[in-house]
Amino acid sequence: MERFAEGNGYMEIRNNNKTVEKELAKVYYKKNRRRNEILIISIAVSLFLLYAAFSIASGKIRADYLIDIRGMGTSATISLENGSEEQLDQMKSLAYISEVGLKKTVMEGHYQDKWNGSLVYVDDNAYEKMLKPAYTDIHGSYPQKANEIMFPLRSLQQMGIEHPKLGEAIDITIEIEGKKETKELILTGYYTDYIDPSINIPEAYVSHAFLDDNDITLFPVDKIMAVQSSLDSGEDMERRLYFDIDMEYDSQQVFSENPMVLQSVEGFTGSISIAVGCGLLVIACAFMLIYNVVSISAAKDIQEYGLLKVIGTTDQQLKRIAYRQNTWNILKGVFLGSIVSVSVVFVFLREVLQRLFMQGYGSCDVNTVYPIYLALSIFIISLTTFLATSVALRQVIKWNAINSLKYTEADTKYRKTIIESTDDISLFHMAWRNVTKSKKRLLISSLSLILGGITALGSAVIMTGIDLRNNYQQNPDFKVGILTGIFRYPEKVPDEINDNTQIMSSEMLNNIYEIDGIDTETINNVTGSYALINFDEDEALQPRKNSIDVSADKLAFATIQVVDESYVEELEEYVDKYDLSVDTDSLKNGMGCVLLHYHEMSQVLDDQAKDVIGMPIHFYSLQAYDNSGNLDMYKKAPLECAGYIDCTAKYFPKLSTTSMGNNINYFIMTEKAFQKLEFPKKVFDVSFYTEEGQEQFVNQKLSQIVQRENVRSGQMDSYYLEENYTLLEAEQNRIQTGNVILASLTLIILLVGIMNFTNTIVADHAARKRELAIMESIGLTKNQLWKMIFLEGFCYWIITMAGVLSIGTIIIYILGTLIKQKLLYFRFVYPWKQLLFVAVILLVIDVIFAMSLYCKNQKEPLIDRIKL
Amino acid sequence: MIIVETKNLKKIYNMGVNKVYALNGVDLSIEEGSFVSIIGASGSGKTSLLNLIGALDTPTEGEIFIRGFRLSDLSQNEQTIFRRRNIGFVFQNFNLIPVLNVYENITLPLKLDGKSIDHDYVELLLKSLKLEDKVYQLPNTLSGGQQQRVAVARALITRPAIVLADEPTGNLDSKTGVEVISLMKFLSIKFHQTLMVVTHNDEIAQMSDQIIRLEDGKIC
Amino acid sequence: MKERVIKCLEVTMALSVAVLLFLNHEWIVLLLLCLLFIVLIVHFKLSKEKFSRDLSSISNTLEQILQGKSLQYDSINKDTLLDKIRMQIFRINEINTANKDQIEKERDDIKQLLAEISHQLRTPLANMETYLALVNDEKISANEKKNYIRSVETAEQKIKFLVEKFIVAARLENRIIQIHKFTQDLKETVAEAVFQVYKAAEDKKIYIEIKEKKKIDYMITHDRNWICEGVYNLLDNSIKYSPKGSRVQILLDDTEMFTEISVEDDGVGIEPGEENKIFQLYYRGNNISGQEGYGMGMFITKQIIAAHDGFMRVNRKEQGLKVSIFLPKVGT
Repeated sequence: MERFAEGNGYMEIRNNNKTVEKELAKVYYKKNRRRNEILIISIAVSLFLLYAAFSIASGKIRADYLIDIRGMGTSATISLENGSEEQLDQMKSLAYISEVGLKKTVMEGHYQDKWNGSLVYVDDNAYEKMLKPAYTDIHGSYPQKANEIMFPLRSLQQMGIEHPKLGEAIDITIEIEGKKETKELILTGYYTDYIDPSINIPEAYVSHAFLDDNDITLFPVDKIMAVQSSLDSGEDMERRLYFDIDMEYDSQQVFSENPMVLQSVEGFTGSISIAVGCGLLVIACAFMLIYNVVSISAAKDIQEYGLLKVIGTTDQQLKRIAYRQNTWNILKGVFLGSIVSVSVVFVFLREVLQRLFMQGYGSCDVNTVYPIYLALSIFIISLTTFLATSVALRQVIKWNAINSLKYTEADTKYRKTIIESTDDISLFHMAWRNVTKSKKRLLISSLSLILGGITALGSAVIMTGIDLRNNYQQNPDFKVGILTGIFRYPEKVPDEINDNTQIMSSEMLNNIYEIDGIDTETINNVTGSYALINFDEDEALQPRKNSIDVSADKLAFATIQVVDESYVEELEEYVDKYDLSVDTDSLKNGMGCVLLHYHEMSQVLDDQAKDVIGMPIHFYSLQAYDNSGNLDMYKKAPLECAGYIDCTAKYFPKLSTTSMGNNINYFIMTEKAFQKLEFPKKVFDVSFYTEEGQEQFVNQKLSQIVQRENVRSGQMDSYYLEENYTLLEAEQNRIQTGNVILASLTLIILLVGIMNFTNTIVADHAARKRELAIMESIGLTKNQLWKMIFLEGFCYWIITMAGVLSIGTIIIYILGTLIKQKLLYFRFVYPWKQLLFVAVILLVIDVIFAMSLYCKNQKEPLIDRIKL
Repeated sequence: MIIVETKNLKKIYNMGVNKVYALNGVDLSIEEGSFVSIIGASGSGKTSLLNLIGALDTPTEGEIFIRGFRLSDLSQNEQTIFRRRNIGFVFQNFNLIPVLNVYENITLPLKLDGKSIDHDYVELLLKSLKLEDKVYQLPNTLSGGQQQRVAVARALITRPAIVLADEPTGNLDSKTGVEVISLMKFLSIKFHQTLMVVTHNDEIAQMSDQIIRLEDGKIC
Repeated sequence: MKERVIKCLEVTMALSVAVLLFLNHEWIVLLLLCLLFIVLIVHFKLSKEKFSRDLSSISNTLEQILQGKSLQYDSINKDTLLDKIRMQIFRINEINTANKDQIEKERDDIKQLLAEISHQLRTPLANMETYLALVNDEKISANEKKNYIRSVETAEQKIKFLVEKFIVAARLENRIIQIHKFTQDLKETVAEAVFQVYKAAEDKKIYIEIKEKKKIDYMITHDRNWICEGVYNLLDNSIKYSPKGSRVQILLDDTEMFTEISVEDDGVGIEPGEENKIFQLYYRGNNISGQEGYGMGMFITKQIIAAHDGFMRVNRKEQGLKVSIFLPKVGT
């Protein structure tokens, strides 16, 4: 290209003076050892920064993903209960669903008395795409024949088979049409899984053939499982699915969790946009460091190159000489940086992520080397260096020969030619002038420091705010209860499930209460009863009826919960504060009940709800379910409608409930009101705290109780066990890991900022060596010199702190607001301590600088320092 | 009283193979209050002599006595303060402080010693050196001659006991040069200062009381 | 008054703090505070002592000056207020001493001058007296009378010359010299000066030649009388210090900025290093043995030339001296 640019004609042969460029480049390269070293280190550090930041982030996300799916036992975040074949097809046709599979529980089976569980069939898709990724150490394959079976290793161990062998025969006892039969099944595979054994019924996989052999229809399946391909949150996804898929029956539920990636990122930084912002920040830092270094050294080059110009070097040749040198630097820097960053990240990630998996999630199978990031980082850094070099070169080329010779660093950077003087020019004034004399240089050096400070603050805010302790402290250590309750098997009403059916049996409750280690004072029961309501009869129920998407039969299930007086007080406060249309008096004196909904009322319906306050609501015994004829027999005493409340509202006073939402008609009332209905009181859930250190023990006992109860037949629904304490511990670990990562990234950015600052100051000082010597010649003592340099550092500190405080505060407020929108329990705490810490560190750096610069340079005799 | 005395003063550069004898055994005594000019060809050691007397450089051999005190007895800090309170130095290449304007450059030595500014005196200097309308400008906007005059003013502001000037008129035309030297001489008489000027210029040399001629590092 | 109020406040505060601590059994804090208090008091006392010592030191130095003793230049090179003040005192002392010396020197010079004057005047005055007395004597002839009267005239001339010279010198000392410049022919000015020394030159058989380096009209702006006086002084010196039969050359030259008048002789010249000294008032040079003179000529000439914004230059020769006058051509 240059050939053409030189104004030569096409195909002209260039002058054969290439070797001199190479020689000059070599000579200058050797001479500028200091600059080269600084540039190489800067390149290496920037490379490290970029690579580390992105690799660590990726590693963390991947690790979280693995842990999540292993813990959940599946990678599917969507499940549709009791799905039909039509629903399966609908699901498959959705654009935002990437994988669909199904699971069908065939029958119960047990191995002697050592293992009790379900024999389950999952289709190919489900196994390969959703379940397999959550397992490790898979031996063998999924059963194909009717007599084949696949077990998790845990089950095998439970059965006493310590070292399973493929092809081994295992006798499983099953029940067909009431008769128990023992079948010999061949073990075709086993795997290690990580789901919580206490809340899940053990399962073993059987083939489709097994299903057919036993004449069991596939549909409706237990669950249709799906993996989403979009980043919708769980709530949004549920909404979409309810919209796009026809529900077969009223209470058919779709569950959706937040996709793992989103969870990880949000858990880490609060939102994706923040993560992206951080990425940009990192890139900007790297860019600034290199640009700064290059432009500082360019200043010195101007003089040298000026000399060359005087004796006849063209601009083109100068450019080539400069680029050649920088290429060597880039190569060295990239080499150094690559080795350091890859090895450090490799070790670091391995150590840190290991801790995450240590909780019992298998081995850390996360990649710790990311060649693509490395390549990208190298590319970005090289590009930056070239860009910076060319910008700096433009400066050099601009000056003609003589001016370049006479150029001293001090000269060009002034804008001012006139400074109105005040009489009193103290050392502080001079220091301030020196610092602010070049806006550009001030900007570069302080900007990266300010960025570092702001990053530190931001991290502090994230770390203290996302502390999940905020969330979990509000929940009791353990909660046991019924899962969905009556809605699981509505067909069993009223024959097998009626008003007197215990939800949590008193036997179970007693077993629980008797567990040693429970803080009995904290036991809290969610009590009430199931009932029926008649949509056709009560006008008060119309708004509710209209809110349900599925066409309601006239009789629907209702869950009634009894709330105590203190809760009613809380509710009253809430209602008064937010001016809701609820008749709390009616609720208080046992005349009325409140309908709680899960954000299911539109504005119109809400208004309708206001109008129906005071109107009667009738509850019916469960016996009325099949006898639509003679309803009045089963009618209970009427209650007033005290109002509708959305319990997902932000400040709704927390209430421990049983299952809610998704078209479940939920009522709360006082004990007095409940008495009127004459339902036997049942217990839905029980929650409590344990005494210190008793968590493990209680956990064990509870698991046993729950597992036992779950296996018993004739149940309304299965029980769940919620352990908050382990969640807390596990999450603590996660948080700590997250914090470590965040802290290290912050540290690196701060370091870059400090490097930038250091560089600027040192270079500046070198250029001012002469000026300072002059001042010493007219009488500036060492003490005064020290003072002035310290004051300069102090001025920098003032400017940096001003920037951090002003811009930083704004940014972290925005950050906090953004995060709070996603994570309700986020607590914004202004990072005063960290701010102070940062301020002190910056101040210390200034002092150290002043001292080190002051120590140097004092050996040479004064006159030599004054010479040009 | 003898204010400046040197004994066998030598300054040698490049102690290795190619030794350069800037000063090769200089003995002189300067009377207090006199106007001395130092002349000689380029490379004869004039600047080195001035630098040594002004404690800007250290001799390779020999001693310098100011008011009977050995300069080498003072520590570096003490030398700096000694310079501040006793010497006004005009450098050949001005050496002004780039961040300060003319006024501030001139008054800087006073500030360093915490002395108050005599505004009448400053005005006198500014007028005599024709710098009145350049007072607030920065050095990089001034010509060589103007910068040199600022340097002269800076050297005179503290009314030091000894004024050392290295080619103070090099960038000035003859007439202005004579004016500047006349000013310096006038002030040196008024404030009883010892004035030592290195110059090429014969007529300036003849304005002085004593001429010292250096040749090859020695007085001839 | 203010100090007393502050002191009271401090004491009250301290006491209340102490009481509070005492009551709260915070012994350690109380102890530490007491220690702190003691340290502060000691520090305060020491500061006061240092302060008074510094002041005493200054007072001593000033006292020494009052007593006329010579000062010790110790410890003036620290960056402290005390040292700065000492340095300033020393400088003042130096300047004062120098001024006193200067005054004394001038007084001595004046005394010397007066002595000279009286000595110089005495001779012609005495002559005048003598000759006048002789004139009044009836016994002498008319011719002799004429001679005597002429001698009186000579003596009177001499007195006049001396007086005028002294007046000029005095005026110059006080810088009261008035220049009136006109653009006129320099050659004529020079010629006039030559005319004034002609007789003396003739007496010594010294040949004065005037040369022009450039053949132009030397029309420059100058004060004829004063320049003439200046050139006359140079010629006078040259003639005085040249041997009989030698030559004195006046050279006129013209450069872009200056007109040069140089007077060159082959006389005794001056010693190396005297180039500047000869311009000092009353300085007589080392080679003037035997010759009359008051050492004022060169000084006067220099002042005249300076008043013209010109300058002078002296070049020694093996035998003799060349003195040049440079008058500026443009501006004033």
